[in-house]
Amino acid sequence: MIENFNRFVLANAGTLLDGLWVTAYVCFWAFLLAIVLGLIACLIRMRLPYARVVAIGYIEFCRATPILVQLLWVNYVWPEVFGFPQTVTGAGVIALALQSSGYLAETFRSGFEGLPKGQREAALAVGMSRWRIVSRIEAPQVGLVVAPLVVNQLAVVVKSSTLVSIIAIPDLMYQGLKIVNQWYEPIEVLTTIALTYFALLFAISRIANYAYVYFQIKFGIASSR
Amino acid sequence: MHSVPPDPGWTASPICSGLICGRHRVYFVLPLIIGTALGTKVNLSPHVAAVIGLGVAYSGFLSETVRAGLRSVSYGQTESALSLGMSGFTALRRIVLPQAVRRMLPEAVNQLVSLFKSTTIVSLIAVQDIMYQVSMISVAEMRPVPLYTGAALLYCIVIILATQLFQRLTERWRRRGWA
Repeated sequence: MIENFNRFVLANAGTLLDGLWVTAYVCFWAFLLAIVLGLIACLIRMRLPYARVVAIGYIEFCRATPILVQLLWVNYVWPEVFGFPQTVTGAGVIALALQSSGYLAETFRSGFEGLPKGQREAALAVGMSRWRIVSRIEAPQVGLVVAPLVVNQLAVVVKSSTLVSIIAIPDLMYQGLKIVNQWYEPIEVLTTIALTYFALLFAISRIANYAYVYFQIKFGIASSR
Repeated sequence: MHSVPPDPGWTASPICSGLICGRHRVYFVLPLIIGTALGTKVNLSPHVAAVIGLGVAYSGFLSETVRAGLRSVSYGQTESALSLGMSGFTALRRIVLPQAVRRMLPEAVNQLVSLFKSTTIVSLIAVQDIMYQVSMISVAEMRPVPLYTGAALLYCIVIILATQLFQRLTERWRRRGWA
Protein backbone atom coordinates (compact mmCIF):
# COMPACT_ATOMS: atom_id res chain seq x y z
CA MET A 1 0.00 0.00 0.00
CA ILE A 2 2.67 2.49 1.08
CA GLU A 3 5.00 1.60 -1.81
CA ASN A 4 2.14 1.97 -4.22
CA PHE A 5 1.23 5.31 -2.69
CA ASN A 6 4.79 6.56 -3.12
CA ARG A 7 5.01 5.21 -6.62
CA PHE A 8 1.70 6.40 -8.03
CA VAL A 9 0.70 9.44 -5.99
CA LEU A 10 3.88 11.07 -4.69
CA ALA A 11 5.82 10.44 -7.89
CA ASN A 12 3.03 12.10 -9.85
CA ALA A 13 2.32 14.85 -7.34
CA GLY A 14 3.37 17.55 -9.80
CA THR A 15 0.91 16.37 -12.44
CA LEU A 16 -1.87 16.10 -9.91
CA LEU A 17 -1.16 19.61 -8.61
CA ASP A 18 -1.28 20.91 -12.20
CA GLY A 19 -4.67 19.25 -12.44
CA LEU A 20 -5.80 20.86 -9.19
CA TRP A 21 -4.74 24.24 -10.57
CA VAL A 22 -6.78 23.67 -13.75
CA THR A 23 -9.76 22.65 -11.60
CA ALA A 24 -9.46 25.87 -9.60
CA TYR A 25 -9.13 27.94 -12.78
CA VAL A 26 -12.19 26.38 -14.43
CA CYS A 27 -14.29 26.66 -11.26
CA PHE A 28 -13.33 30.28 -10.67
CA TRP A 29 -14.28 31.53 -14.13
CA ALA A 30 -17.37 29.34 -14.31
CA PHE A 31 -18.60 30.59 -10.97
CA LEU A 32 -17.95 34.22 -11.82
CA LEU A 33 -19.78 33.86 -15.13
CA ALA A 34 -22.60 32.01 -13.38
CA ILE A 35 -23.12 34.81 -10.86
CA VAL A 36 -23.24 37.43 -13.60
CA LEU A 37 -25.59 35.40 -15.83
CA GLY A 38 -27.75 34.41 -12.87
CA LEU A 39 -28.13 38.00 -11.70
CA ILE A 40 -29.02 39.18 -15.19
CA ALA A 41 -31.55 36.36 -15.68
CA CYS A 42 -33.05 36.99 -12.26
CA LEU A 43 -33.46 40.74 -12.81
CA ILE A 44 -34.94 40.21 -16.28
CA ARG A 45 -37.35 37.66 -14.88
CA MET A 46 -38.50 39.96 -12.10
CA ARG A 47 -38.43 43.41 -13.64
CA LEU A 48 -38.85 43.33 -17.43
CA PRO A 49 -42.42 42.59 -18.48
CA TYR A 50 -41.98 41.02 -21.95
CA ALA A 51 -38.49 39.57 -21.75
CA ARG A 52 -39.38 37.58 -18.66
CA VAL A 53 -40.76 34.68 -20.73
CA VAL A 54 -37.33 34.27 -22.30
CA ALA A 55 -35.67 34.43 -18.89
CA ILE A 56 -38.04 31.82 -17.47
CA GLY A 57 -37.33 29.51 -20.40
CA TYR A 58 -33.58 30.00 -19.96
CA ILE A 59 -33.70 29.35 -16.20
CA GLU A 60 -35.89 26.26 -16.56
CA PHE A 61 -33.69 24.85 -19.31
CA CYS A 62 -30.55 25.37 -17.27
CA ARG A 63 -32.03 23.79 -14.18
CA ALA A 64 -33.71 20.85 -15.85
CA THR A 65 -30.82 19.59 -17.98
CA PRO A 66 -28.15 17.39 -16.40
CA ILE A 67 -24.66 18.86 -16.30
CA LEU A 68 -23.18 16.06 -18.40
CA VAL A 69 -25.72 16.70 -21.16
CA GLN A 70 -24.98 20.42 -21.09
CA LEU A 71 -21.27 19.78 -21.13
CA LEU A 72 -21.42 17.56 -24.22
CA TRP A 73 -23.99 19.85 -25.83
CA VAL A 74 -21.83 22.95 -25.40
CA ASN A 75 -18.69 21.10 -26.40
CA TYR A 76 -19.99 19.50 -29.60
CA VAL A 77 -22.91 21.66 -30.68
CA TRP A 78 -21.99 25.25 -29.88
CA PRO A 79 -18.80 25.44 -31.98
CA GLU A 80 -20.77 24.37 -35.06
CA VAL A 81 -23.89 26.45 -34.41
CA PHE A 82 -22.62 29.56 -32.63
CA GLY A 83 -18.91 29.15 -33.34
CA PHE A 84 -17.53 30.37 -30.06
CA PRO A 85 -16.12 28.04 -27.45
CA GLN A 86 -13.04 27.26 -29.53
CA THR A 87 -11.21 25.45 -26.72
CA VAL A 88 -12.42 22.62 -24.47
CA THR A 89 -11.66 24.75 -21.43
CA GLY A 90 -14.00 27.43 -22.72
CA ALA A 91 -16.69 24.82 -23.29
CA GLY A 92 -16.25 23.48 -19.77
CA VAL A 93 -16.46 26.93 -18.23
CA ILE A 94 -19.56 27.83 -20.23
CA ALA A 95 -21.35 24.57 -19.44
CA LEU A 96 -20.68 24.80 -15.71
CA ALA A 97 -21.73 28.44 -15.74
CA LEU A 98 -24.95 27.66 -17.63
CA GLN A 99 -26.01 25.04 -15.13
CA SER A 100 -25.23 27.16 -12.08
CA SER A 101 -26.67 30.37 -13.48
CA GLY A 102 -30.12 28.76 -13.55
CA TYR A 103 -29.90 27.75 -9.91
CA LEU A 104 -28.34 31.07 -8.87
CA ALA A 105 -31.06 33.04 -10.65
CA GLU A 106 -33.69 31.28 -8.57
CA THR A 107 -31.62 31.80 -5.42
CA PHE A 108 -31.34 35.52 -6.09
CA ARG A 109 -35.03 35.72 -6.87
CA SER A 110 -35.91 34.10 -3.56
CA GLY A 111 -33.68 36.69 -1.87
CA PHE A 112 -35.32 39.62 -3.66
CA GLU A 113 -38.81 38.33 -2.99
CA GLY A 114 -38.00 37.80 0.68
CA LEU A 115 -37.56 41.55 1.15
CA PRO A 116 -40.56 43.44 2.50
CA LYS A 117 -42.38 45.22 -0.32
CA GLY A 118 -42.65 48.41 1.71
CA GLN A 119 -38.95 49.14 1.26
CA ARG A 120 -39.27 49.28 -2.50
CA GLU A 121 -42.38 51.43 -2.29
CA ALA A 122 -40.70 53.79 0.16
CA ALA A 123 -37.68 54.11 -2.12
CA LEU A 124 -39.95 54.83 -5.10
CA ALA A 125 -41.79 57.44 -3.05
CA VAL A 126 -38.50 59.15 -2.21
CA GLY A 127 -37.85 59.30 -5.96
CA MET A 128 -35.09 56.77 -6.53
CA SER A 129 -34.67 55.30 -10.01
CA ARG A 130 -35.17 51.55 -10.50
CA TRP A 131 -31.49 50.81 -10.88
CA ARG A 132 -30.65 52.86 -7.79
CA ILE A 133 -33.24 50.93 -5.76
CA VAL A 134 -31.65 47.66 -6.78
CA SER A 135 -28.10 48.78 -6.16
CA ARG A 136 -28.57 50.78 -2.95
CA ILE A 137 -31.57 49.25 -1.16
CA GLU A 138 -32.09 45.70 -2.31
CA ALA A 139 -28.73 44.27 -3.40
CA PRO A 140 -26.89 44.77 -0.07
CA GLN A 141 -29.60 43.04 1.93
CA VAL A 142 -30.11 40.28 -0.62
CA GLY A 143 -26.36 39.68 -0.76
CA LEU A 144 -26.23 39.10 2.97
CA VAL A 145 -29.20 36.73 2.99
CA VAL A 146 -28.27 34.77 -0.11
CA ALA A 147 -24.53 34.35 0.55
CA PRO A 148 -24.66 30.85 2.13
CA LEU A 149 -26.73 29.51 -0.75
CA VAL A 150 -24.32 31.03 -3.26
CA VAL A 151 -21.39 29.35 -1.53
CA ASN A 152 -23.36 26.10 -1.62
CA GLN A 153 -23.57 26.57 -5.36
CA LEU A 154 -19.82 27.08 -5.51
CA ALA A 155 -19.45 23.68 -3.84
CA VAL A 156 -21.78 22.21 -6.47
CA VAL A 157 -19.68 23.79 -9.23
CA VAL A 158 -16.49 22.29 -7.83
CA LYS A 159 -18.11 18.87 -7.63
CA SER A 160 -19.54 19.12 -11.14
CA SER A 161 -16.16 20.22 -12.43
CA THR A 162 -14.92 16.63 -12.06
CA LEU A 163 -17.04 15.92 -15.13
CA VAL A 164 -15.10 18.27 -17.39
CA SER A 165 -12.40 15.61 -17.49
CA ILE A 166 -14.44 13.70 -20.06
CA ILE A 167 -14.08 16.47 -22.65
CA ALA A 168 -10.32 16.27 -22.02
CA ILE A 169 -9.78 19.34 -19.88
CA PRO A 170 -6.68 18.37 -17.90
CA ASP A 171 -8.17 18.85 -14.43
CA LEU A 172 -7.44 16.83 -11.30
CA MET A 173 -9.79 13.99 -12.22
CA TYR A 174 -8.36 13.79 -15.75
CA GLN A 175 -4.78 13.59 -14.53
CA GLY A 176 -5.77 10.98 -11.96
CA LEU A 177 -7.59 8.82 -14.49
CA LYS A 178 -4.61 9.10 -16.81
CA ILE A 179 -2.35 7.65 -14.11
CA VAL A 180 -4.94 4.95 -13.38
CA ASN A 181 -5.18 3.99 -17.03
CA GLN A 182 -1.43 3.88 -17.35
CA TRP A 183 -0.74 1.51 -14.44
CA TYR A 184 -4.14 -0.08 -13.75
CA GLU A 185 -3.74 0.69 -10.05
CA PRO A 186 -6.85 2.64 -9.09
CA ILE A 187 -6.91 2.36 -5.29
CA GLU A 188 -4.33 4.89 -4.15
CA VAL A 189 -4.82 7.50 -6.87
CA LEU A 190 -8.60 7.63 -6.83
CA THR A 191 -8.75 7.62 -3.03
CA THR A 192 -6.26 10.47 -2.93
CA ILE A 193 -8.34 12.43 -5.41
CA ALA A 194 -11.50 11.80 -3.42
CA LEU A 195 -9.81 13.00 -0.25
CA THR A 196 -8.46 16.07 -2.07
CA TYR A 197 -11.93 17.07 -3.24
CA PHE A 198 -13.26 16.38 0.23
CA ALA A 199 -10.64 18.62 1.82
CA LEU A 200 -11.23 21.35 -0.76
CA LEU A 201 -15.00 21.42 -0.31
CA PHE A 202 -14.84 21.06 3.44
CA ALA A 203 -12.48 24.03 3.58
CA ILE A 204 -14.75 26.07 1.32
CA SER A 205 -17.83 25.40 3.43
CA ARG A 206 -16.05 26.06 6.75
CA ILE A 207 -14.43 29.31 5.59
CA ALA A 208 -17.74 30.45 4.12
CA ASN A 209 -19.47 29.63 7.39
CA TYR A 210 -17.09 31.76 9.43
CA ALA A 211 -17.26 34.58 6.88
CA TYR A 212 -21.04 34.45 6.94
CA VAL A 213 -21.22 34.70 10.73
CA TYR A 214 -18.67 37.53 10.68
CA PHE A 215 -20.57 39.53 8.08
CA GLN A 216 -23.89 38.90 9.78
CA ILE A 217 -22.51 40.30 13.03
CA LYS A 218 -20.87 43.24 11.30
CA PHE A 219 -23.53 44.27 8.76
CA GLY A 220 -26.63 42.18 9.53
CA ILE A 221 -29.84 43.19 11.24
CA ALA A 222 -28.32 42.44 14.64
CA SER A 223 -25.60 45.04 14.09
CA SER A 224 -28.03 47.93 13.55
CA ARG A 225 -29.82 47.42 16.84
CA MET B 1 -29.40 28.44 10.50
CA HIS B 2 -26.08 28.06 12.23
CA SER B 3 -27.31 26.50 15.40
CA VAL B 4 -27.06 23.05 13.79
CA PRO B 5 -24.33 20.87 15.26
CA PRO B 6 -21.32 20.08 13.04
CA ASP B 7 -21.85 17.18 10.70
CA PRO B 8 -20.41 13.83 11.59
CA GLY B 9 -17.85 12.61 9.11
CA TRP B 10 -20.19 10.18 7.41
CA THR B 11 -22.64 12.82 6.21
CA ALA B 12 -19.88 15.15 5.11
CA SER B 13 -17.81 12.69 3.16
CA PRO B 14 -20.13 11.60 0.30
CA ILE B 15 -21.40 15.16 -0.04
CA CYS B 16 -17.97 16.62 -0.35
CA SER B 17 -16.13 14.17 -2.57
CA GLY B 18 -17.34 14.65 -6.12
CA LEU B 19 -19.97 12.35 -7.54
CA ILE B 20 -17.95 11.18 -10.49
CA CYS B 21 -15.07 10.38 -8.22
CA GLY B 22 -17.41 8.34 -6.05
CA ARG B 23 -18.63 6.48 -9.10
CA HIS B 24 -15.17 5.61 -10.34
CA ARG B 25 -14.08 4.71 -6.87
CA VAL B 26 -16.91 2.23 -6.49
CA TYR B 27 -16.32 0.76 -9.92
CA PHE B 28 -12.58 0.38 -9.60
CA VAL B 29 -11.79 0.36 -5.92
CA LEU B 30 -14.63 -1.52 -4.24
CA PRO B 31 -14.04 -4.81 -6.13
CA LEU B 32 -10.38 -4.62 -5.20
CA ILE B 33 -11.12 -4.02 -1.53
CA ILE B 34 -13.72 -6.80 -1.40
CA GLY B 35 -11.39 -9.04 -3.38
CA THR B 36 -8.52 -8.39 -1.00
CA ALA B 37 -10.77 -9.05 1.96
CA LEU B 38 -12.04 -12.34 0.54
CA GLY B 39 -8.72 -13.33 -0.96
CA THR B 40 -10.23 -13.75 -4.44
CA LYS B 41 -10.94 -11.53 -7.40
CA VAL B 42 -14.36 -9.88 -7.58
CA ASN B 43 -15.83 -7.93 -10.48
CA LEU B 44 -18.82 -5.65 -10.03
CA SER B 45 -20.90 -5.23 -13.13
CA PRO B 46 -21.18 -1.58 -14.19
CA HIS B 47 -24.89 -1.58 -13.27
CA VAL B 48 -24.22 -2.69 -9.72
CA ALA B 49 -21.36 -0.22 -9.37
CA ALA B 50 -23.57 2.59 -10.68
CA VAL B 51 -26.39 1.77 -8.26
CA ILE B 52 -24.04 1.49 -5.27
CA GLY B 53 -22.16 4.67 -6.21
CA LEU B 54 -25.25 6.81 -6.72
CA GLY B 55 -26.86 5.33 -3.63
CA VAL B 56 -23.89 6.04 -1.39
CA ALA B 57 -23.41 9.52 -2.80
CA TYR B 58 -27.05 10.49 -2.28
CA SER B 59 -27.39 8.82 1.11
CA GLY B 60 -25.34 11.70 2.52
CA PHE B 61 -27.66 14.33 1.06
CA LEU B 62 -30.77 12.44 2.14
CA SER B 63 -29.51 11.95 5.68
CA GLU B 64 -29.22 15.73 5.93
CA THR B 65 -32.82 16.04 4.70
CA VAL B 66 -34.05 13.48 7.21
CA ARG B 67 -32.14 15.18 9.99
CA ALA B 68 -33.70 18.54 9.14
CA GLY B 69 -37.15 16.94 9.02
CA LEU B 70 -36.76 15.24 12.39
CA ARG B 71 -35.39 18.38 14.00
CA SER B 72 -38.32 20.43 12.67
CA VAL B 73 -40.75 18.54 14.92
CA SER B 74 -40.55 20.29 18.28
CA TYR B 75 -38.98 18.26 21.03
CA GLY B 76 -41.89 18.97 23.39
CA GLN B 77 -44.01 16.53 21.39
CA THR B 78 -41.53 13.72 21.96
CA GLU B 79 -41.35 14.63 25.62
CA SER B 80 -45.11 14.59 26.09
CA ALA B 81 -45.38 11.30 24.18
CA LEU B 82 -42.73 9.82 26.46
CA SER B 83 -44.48 11.16 29.55
CA LEU B 84 -47.68 9.46 28.39
CA GLY B 85 -45.77 6.21 28.59
CA MET B 86 -44.97 5.57 24.94
CA SER B 87 -41.68 3.88 24.28
CA GLY B 88 -39.10 5.86 22.32
CA PHE B 89 -39.73 3.86 19.17
CA THR B 90 -43.51 4.24 19.41
CA ALA B 91 -43.17 7.99 19.93
CA LEU B 92 -40.93 8.17 16.88
CA ARG B 93 -43.25 6.05 14.75
CA ARG B 94 -46.57 7.56 15.80
CA ILE B 95 -45.82 11.16 16.71
CA VAL B 96 -42.64 12.41 15.10
CA LEU B 97 -42.29 10.55 11.80
CA PRO B 98 -45.77 11.33 10.37
CA GLN B 99 -45.07 15.04 10.72
CA ALA B 100 -41.40 14.87 9.81
CA VAL B 101 -41.99 12.87 6.63
CA ARG B 102 -44.49 15.40 5.35
CA ARG B 103 -42.01 18.21 5.87
CA MET B 104 -39.22 16.22 4.26
CA LEU B 105 -41.20 15.46 1.11
CA PRO B 106 -40.47 18.54 -1.04
CA GLU B 107 -36.76 18.32 -0.35
CA ALA B 108 -36.77 14.57 -0.94
CA VAL B 109 -38.44 15.16 -4.30
CA ASN B 110 -35.71 17.66 -5.15
CA GLN B 111 -33.15 15.02 -4.28
CA LEU B 112 -34.92 12.50 -6.48
CA VAL B 113 -34.88 14.87 -9.44
CA SER B 114 -31.25 15.65 -8.79
CA LEU B 115 -30.48 11.93 -8.60
CA PHE B 116 -32.26 11.44 -11.91
CA LYS B 117 -30.04 14.09 -13.45
CA SER B 118 -26.94 12.49 -11.98
CA THR B 119 -27.73 9.16 -13.61
CA THR B 120 -26.34 10.62 -16.86
CA ILE B 121 -22.90 10.22 -15.31
CA VAL B 122 -23.16 6.42 -15.26
CA SER B 123 -22.61 6.42 -19.03
CA LEU B 124 -18.94 7.01 -18.18
CA ILE B 125 -18.57 3.52 -16.76
CA ALA B 126 -20.34 2.05 -19.79
CA VAL B 127 -23.84 1.60 -18.41
CA GLN B 128 -25.89 1.97 -21.56
CA ASP B 129 -28.13 4.92 -20.70
CA ILE B 130 -29.31 7.69 -23.04
CA MET B 131 -26.06 9.66 -23.03
CA TYR B 132 -24.04 6.51 -23.74
CA GLN B 133 -26.20 5.66 -26.74
CA VAL B 134 -26.11 9.27 -27.94
CA SER B 135 -22.34 9.46 -27.81
CA MET B 136 -22.03 6.06 -29.52
CA ILE B 137 -24.39 7.10 -32.34
CA SER B 138 -22.77 10.49 -32.79
CA VAL B 139 -19.36 8.88 -33.04
CA ALA B 140 -20.71 6.55 -35.72
CA GLU B 141 -22.65 9.20 -37.62
CA MET B 142 -20.19 12.09 -37.16
CA ARG B 143 -23.09 14.50 -36.72
CA PRO B 144 -23.22 15.60 -33.08
CA VAL B 145 -25.47 18.68 -33.41
CA PRO B 146 -28.96 17.18 -33.71
CA LEU B 147 -28.23 14.26 -31.38
CA TYR B 148 -26.89 16.24 -28.45
CA THR B 149 -29.50 18.98 -28.84
CA GLY B 150 -32.19 16.31 -28.92
CA ALA B 151 -30.81 14.64 -25.80
CA ALA B 152 -30.68 17.98 -23.97
CA LEU B 153 -34.27 18.83 -24.91
CA LEU B 154 -35.44 15.32 -24.02
CA TYR B 155 -33.91 15.53 -20.55
CA CYS B 156 -35.25 19.06 -20.10
CA ILE B 157 -38.84 18.04 -20.94
CA VAL B 158 -38.78 14.79 -18.97
CA ILE B 159 -37.39 16.45 -15.86
CA ILE B 160 -39.80 19.40 -15.95
CA LEU B 161 -42.74 16.99 -16.36
CA ALA B 162 -41.43 14.69 -13.63
CA THR B 163 -40.98 17.61 -11.23
CA GLN B 164 -44.54 18.77 -11.83
CA LEU B 165 -45.88 15.24 -11.39
CA PHE B 166 -44.00 14.62 -8.14
CA GLN B 167 -45.09 17.98 -6.78
CA ARG B 168 -48.73 17.15 -7.52
CA LEU B 169 -48.48 13.72 -5.91
CA THR B 170 -46.72 14.86 -2.77
CA GLU B 171 -48.96 17.91 -2.50
CA ARG B 172 -51.94 15.63 -2.08
CA TRP B 173 -50.11 13.46 0.39
CA ARG B 174 -48.93 16.43 2.43
CA ARG B 175 -52.43 17.86 2.70
CA ARG B 176 -53.97 14.57 3.80
CA GLY B 177 -54.40 13.76 7.47
CA TRP B 178 -52.74 15.44 10.39
CA ALA B 179 -50.28 17.76 8.77
